[in-house]
Amino acid sequence: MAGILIVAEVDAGVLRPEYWELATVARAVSASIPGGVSVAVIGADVAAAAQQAAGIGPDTLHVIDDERLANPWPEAHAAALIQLCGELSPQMVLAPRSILGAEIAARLAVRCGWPLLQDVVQIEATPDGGLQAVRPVSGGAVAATVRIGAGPWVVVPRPRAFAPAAASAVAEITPTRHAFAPPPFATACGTPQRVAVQGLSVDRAKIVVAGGGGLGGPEPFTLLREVAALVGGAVGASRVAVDSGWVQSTMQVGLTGKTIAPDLYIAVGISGAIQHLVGCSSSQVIVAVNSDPAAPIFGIANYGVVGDCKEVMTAFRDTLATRAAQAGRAV
Amino acid sequence: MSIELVLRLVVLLGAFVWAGFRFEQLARPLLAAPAEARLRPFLPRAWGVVVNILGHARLMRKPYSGLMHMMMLFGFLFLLTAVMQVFGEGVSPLFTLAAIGGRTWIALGQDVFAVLLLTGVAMATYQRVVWKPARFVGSNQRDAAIILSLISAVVVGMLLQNSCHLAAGRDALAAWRPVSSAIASVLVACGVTGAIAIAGATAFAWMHMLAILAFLVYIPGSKHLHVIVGVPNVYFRDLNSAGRLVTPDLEQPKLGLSDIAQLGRKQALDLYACTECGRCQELCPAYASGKPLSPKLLIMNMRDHLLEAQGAGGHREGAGGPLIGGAISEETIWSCTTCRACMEACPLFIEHVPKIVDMRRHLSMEAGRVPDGISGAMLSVEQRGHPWAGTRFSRLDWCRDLDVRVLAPGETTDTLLWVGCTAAFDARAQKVARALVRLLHGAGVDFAILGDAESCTGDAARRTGNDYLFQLQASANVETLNTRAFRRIVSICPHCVNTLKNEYPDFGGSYDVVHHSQLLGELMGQGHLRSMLRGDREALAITFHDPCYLGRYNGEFEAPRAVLAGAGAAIAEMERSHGRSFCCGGGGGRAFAVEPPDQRVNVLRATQARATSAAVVATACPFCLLMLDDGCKAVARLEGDSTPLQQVRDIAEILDDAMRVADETRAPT
Amino acid sequence: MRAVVCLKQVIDPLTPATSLALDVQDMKIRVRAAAPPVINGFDEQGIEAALRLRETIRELEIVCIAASERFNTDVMKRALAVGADQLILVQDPSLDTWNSYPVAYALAAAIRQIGGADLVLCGRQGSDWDNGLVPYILADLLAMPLLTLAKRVNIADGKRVEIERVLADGSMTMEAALPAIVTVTSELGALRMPSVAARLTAARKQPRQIALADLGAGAPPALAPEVIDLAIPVTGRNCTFIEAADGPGAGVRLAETLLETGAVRLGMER
Repeated sequence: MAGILIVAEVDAGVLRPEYWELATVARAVSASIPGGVSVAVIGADVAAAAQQAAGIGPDTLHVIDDERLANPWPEAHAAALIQLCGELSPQMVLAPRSILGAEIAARLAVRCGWPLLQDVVQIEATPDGGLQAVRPVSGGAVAATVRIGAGPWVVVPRPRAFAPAAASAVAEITPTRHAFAPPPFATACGTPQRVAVQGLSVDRAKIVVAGGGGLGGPEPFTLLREVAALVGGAVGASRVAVDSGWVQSTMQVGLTGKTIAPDLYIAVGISGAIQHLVGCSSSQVIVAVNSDPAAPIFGIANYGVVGDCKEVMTAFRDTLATRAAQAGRAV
Repeated sequence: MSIELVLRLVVLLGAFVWAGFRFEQLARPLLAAPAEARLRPFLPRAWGVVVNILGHARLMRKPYSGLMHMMMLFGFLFLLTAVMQVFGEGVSPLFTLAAIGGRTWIALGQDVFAVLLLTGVAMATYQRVVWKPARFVGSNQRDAAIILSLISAVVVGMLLQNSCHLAAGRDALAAWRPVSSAIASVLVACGVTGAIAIAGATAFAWMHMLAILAFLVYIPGSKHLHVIVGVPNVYFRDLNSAGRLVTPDLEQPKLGLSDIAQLGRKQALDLYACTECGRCQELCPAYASGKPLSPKLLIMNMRDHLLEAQGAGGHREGAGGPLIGGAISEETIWSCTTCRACMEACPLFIEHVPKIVDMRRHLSMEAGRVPDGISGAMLSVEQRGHPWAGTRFSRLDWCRDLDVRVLAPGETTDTLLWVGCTAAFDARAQKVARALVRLLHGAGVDFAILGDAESCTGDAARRTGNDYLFQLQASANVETLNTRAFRRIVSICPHCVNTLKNEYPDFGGSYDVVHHSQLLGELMGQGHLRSMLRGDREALAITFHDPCYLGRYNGEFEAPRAVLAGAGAAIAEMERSHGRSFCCGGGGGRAFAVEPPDQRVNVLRATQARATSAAVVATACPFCLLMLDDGCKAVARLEGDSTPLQQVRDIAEILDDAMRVADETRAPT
Repeated sequence: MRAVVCLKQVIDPLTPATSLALDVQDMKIRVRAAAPPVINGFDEQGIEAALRLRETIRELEIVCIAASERFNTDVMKRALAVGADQLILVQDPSLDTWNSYPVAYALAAAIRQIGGADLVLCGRQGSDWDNGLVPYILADLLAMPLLTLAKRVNIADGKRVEIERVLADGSMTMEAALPAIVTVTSELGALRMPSVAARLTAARKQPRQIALADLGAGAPPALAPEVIDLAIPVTGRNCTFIEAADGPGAGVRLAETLLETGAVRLGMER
């Protein structure tokens, strides 16, 4: 019997970033859950990803590599996970809260009749062999603490809520390969039509870097695009920036633009008129950079910087770029 | 009977029949239109006709055009005597006005007024050909030229007919016709005497008559129809308070105006009355900002559509193509800020805004086609009682640290402070409410608020055509208000004031409602606040933006200025102020709408404010505050950082700043 | 052909935090002011999807079903006003829960009682507890294929449902044979505005109220975690100002802070 099974989702050949956060969760509770930590890598041509996943040093590594798993087809991926769980009988399944990960977690939970803990931001094992977790509800306005008795459980942590585990030196581990033996499929899927990350629209991105009138012109948006590229986000804009012709109207956030709820919203030079707040107030974390300390945007921000937008963002970009380069060397 | 007389009779009869047919065509849709109760009261209605038609009250706001029109109107009226002569003589050569002075003072008057009329025509020609004011853009210039030519022909024909008579020596009226005499002496000098002069007299008599008949036949298809329908249009004008729109019955089969055949009789008459003078277009903020709306073209297009529908199959539904999306585009309909500048300017009291709102009613309540921003705001009013979805505040958050009482059902207060949604939910506008509360405390006013029980008055819902939502809001608010006792209501928002005061009586709520400028003015007048003013104030150069719903809609121009003067401000007026004030762009639901970047009304207004060089732009409406704040920032950006940003503030904030007492609640929240 | 749209009545997700009241006795989130609830926004888009289908499939019957402890009928009637043929409200005190299973069992039983459905449309998740589990349980109970996160729904030949499913960085088409369950997502577009005539007609219509006991729904498994505490996060929206000597210094500090808290991860986002 396996203890913890981490679902390592492979997206376009690479591991999703949440994988390293799941590893942190697994390490935190593994002492209370006997059976060790296993990793499930599901997909097609996932050998490289599996090797990468081995970086956290799991006890066992299970791979289902099958052509039918090439596309993010929920039914097929869920079938593979359910098959693995049947073979491994884990006590806890950790899945990423990505579009595919959250779905196969839900399919697994319902099929096996296991409780599902969604969107967890804190988690610990309780002495009685259960789990206690904190999760935001009502759009993040309220934090609910929940408790569940003995497992097995399916746990889906919130992205960025846990620090990513560092990849240790590549462990020597031989993946266990499982042949994919799914039941007949009831759904069919086509090939995904993907757009470049640069083309990600503001309402799809997890991180949005938005600029407003305080930028003074279209040029600083180049800076914001560079920041967005570094953090994997999209660039948004306030109505003032759109109206001034600095950027396209498809980027507009607010009453007359898009209403978005990203994990992180960085508002640069946006004063935060009520018409703008309508579009962004549901963001998980809001960062405001503005030269006016009285700007209303600070009223809804989690982090604020009062200062010249260009100066602040240039240093912000450079710091991130340096760190990214260091991280790149480290891996 | 001479052949000429027979011919004259035939021509007269033919012209009358033709004109009669044309007038009947025009009258048909009017008669078929549902009547509006606009007959009584007689005296105020008739007095309005005297003041506005004979007295030229609105026309004289443009002295050149006013004087010109006055000369032409009175000339035209007096020359009706000549018309009577023509028609009389057409029937009988023995017809004469001699008994009532036709050979004495009428003759003199005809000469004098003919000159005045020709002067008027000359001025009009100069205006149209040389001066060309922008308000004529889109007007039918050919029509104007034909009319001016016909008038000239009528007058010149009459003058030359009389002159020829004098030249022929067959008229002993030389002393009573000084102008004709002078022309006659020129004619005589040129050898026009005797038989030639007699022949000339006959010819010019024909010219005179034919010109009159041409005019008669031409009028029904022309902007000059106003000579007929102008008087009734002024008589039947809306006597209700400006801020009250008619409450429609929501159970009727068709909601809102989507077919020209639905127009009420006075509304249809409006279309005939338009003279295409363009005074509305000149003042329209939507037109000035480059949007597709011109109030003048709206009326002209509706008129043309009415006549087309008439031609295309009588007064039947759907005849002549669609009204909305055909004659009038949806974009045009949504461009209006309902600022009412057009209606205030129209010399003939045409009602533009009610027609626009009526078409919006169709779009909102039947078709379900409402621009994004507006529909989102209205959905929010429906779901949570205010349009500002996404606010982080509840209705009471703005005053948590202030001593403000919430009036429970059954409780009593002197003054009920109706905060309004924007002042409750917007961080910037909240400062206005806080300033007002400090002033009320300072003046010792017994006041309270409704807190969570307050809900949007529904002004924006009504003016964007969602009368269903408006009626729900009105009924709910009246119910809330009627369970509490108060002497009067004061509100920060002129839109709330207008709706509470003028529109809630339809829903069983009649209240004494004042705007905070009026209350503050009153308190200052009573000396309550004066003693608290700081002595060390420097006179601040301020320009005041008149909110449409305070000024034009409710006639209050002086109270906010008195408050500013009391606070020690030196007021620099903008070019457009008081009744001619230029909208901030936020009325009629436009505060929630998408304003195309190059068509923004608030930027135009901010530019006008900047021209005064005042450091502060004062206003007295939360919508104006937000719109102008945005506009001033845009203008500062456009002009570069070299020019300082103007501050936009409410009069209550300015007065509060001038107060001696400083306390910690004044710190920015 | 019949489409069932599952609705949930939720607290207005735009309720400001200052208006929320936490009942830590019953572990319920309530609203301080008399703010009415709303139909879950994602579910409204399910209605919109059904209405769009009816534009081509004239005979499509649209039945909206909701299950809750109690209802604000005026709010729920919006479904009728926009064009649903029927509104069924299943009521029971046991449905006042954040557990998805009882709700899904009630919905499935109601669907069976009306004779089944060719297509069941659900919102992707409830905006209150964000579990997003009901469609999966329904698929299991009704033994129907499940297609999720549709931004476009189409029925081909009256036999198959085709959807365009959103992905983080694009979309893909999916299909299944009817009867099937489809969940919709926000990209589908907002629910249309009802006409006033339809509202007035809807106001006169009454929803069909069904007591859970009359449905024979069966006992749902006790699979949900127990809520033991509710709190309004103190960190939420209390702005922490990044102090530094100058602008560049603040930029560096900001970057470090966001990296430390995990708000930003480098080179790992898609």
